Amino acid sequence: MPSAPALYDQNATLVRGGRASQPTPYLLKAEDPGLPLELIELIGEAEALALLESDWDGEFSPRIDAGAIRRASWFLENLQVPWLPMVGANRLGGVRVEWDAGHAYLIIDFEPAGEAQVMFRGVGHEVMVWRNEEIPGELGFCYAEVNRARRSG
Amino acid sequence: MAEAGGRDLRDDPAITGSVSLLRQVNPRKAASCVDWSAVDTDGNPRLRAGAFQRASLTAAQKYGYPVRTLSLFVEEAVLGEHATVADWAAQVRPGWGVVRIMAGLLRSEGDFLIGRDDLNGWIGHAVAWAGGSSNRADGAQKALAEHAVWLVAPDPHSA
Repeated sequence: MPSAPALYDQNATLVRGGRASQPTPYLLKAEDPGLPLELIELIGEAEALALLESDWDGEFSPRIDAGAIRRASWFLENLQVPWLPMVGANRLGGVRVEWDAGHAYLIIDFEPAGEAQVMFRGVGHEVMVWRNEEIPGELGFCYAEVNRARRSG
Repeated sequence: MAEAGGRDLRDDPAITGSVSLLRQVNPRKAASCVDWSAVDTDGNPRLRAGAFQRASLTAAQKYGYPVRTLSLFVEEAVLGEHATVADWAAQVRPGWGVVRIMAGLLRSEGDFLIGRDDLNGWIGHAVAWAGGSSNRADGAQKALAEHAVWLVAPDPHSA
C-alpha cells in the first residue's frame, strides 16, 4: 500500500505560515479542475461556518473566527488523501476537521488567534493531545493509522 | 474548588460514579456533535466527540463560571420534575437529542469534577470542569461520545 501523502506542507504549518494566513479564493478554487467536487463541497462547508452567529449553540459560543476558517480551508485545499474528513464548528470559535474510524481518530481544531489542537488515537493506544508547537510537523502517520483502522473495519 | 467570576464550583461527592447525567446534543451538522451519515436503526446519528467539548472560557464566564465547563443535568432530578426525559427534552430544547453518560466515566476518562447548581432555576443542572489538565479533559471527548447512550433522538429536520 502506498504511504499516505503529507497532510500539509512542512514549511507552512498548521498554526502559522505565509500561505495559511492568506484569504482563500474559494470561488476561484471552485473552478479549479484539480480539486475534486467532494473537496470543493467540504471547503464550502468550512467557509459557510462564517455565517454562524455568536451563540450559535445556545450556550454563548463565539462566532467562528475568520482566520481559523482561512487556515482550515487552506488545509483542506491542500489535502491529498482519498478519505475526506468531516468539517464543522468547535465551541472555541474554531473549525474542527475530523477523521473518525471509531476506536481510531484524528481531530484537528483550527482555533482563533492562530492556535491549533490535534487529538489522535491509534488502535490500542492512548489518545494524544498536541497543542500549537507540540503538533508534529507531519501528520500523515496519524491519517494512515486512522485510515488503516477504517479499512480493517 | 474553582472560585472567581461569581460562581463557586465545588466538586460534589454525592455525584458518585453511578449517577446518571444527561447531555443535550445539538443536531446541526455544523455543530460537530453528530454524524448524520451514520444513523442507527432507531434514528440516532453517530455521536461525535464535539458533543463533549467544554464551552469556551468566555462562554462559561457568561454563566458566571470561572473555568471552561460542560453543561449536564442529573437525570434523577429531571425525572423528579418531568414524566420522561423525552418530555423534558421537548420542552427545553425541541429537536435536540439527549444522551446519558455516567458520572464515573467523566471522572475516570477526563479527570472531571462535577457539581450540581440548578443554574437559572434549571432543575438538575450540573457542570463538569477539568480537575486535571485541559489536555486530559479535551482528550476524553471521543471516549465519552463512544460510551454515551442515546435517550432522545435528535430531529434530523433540525440538522
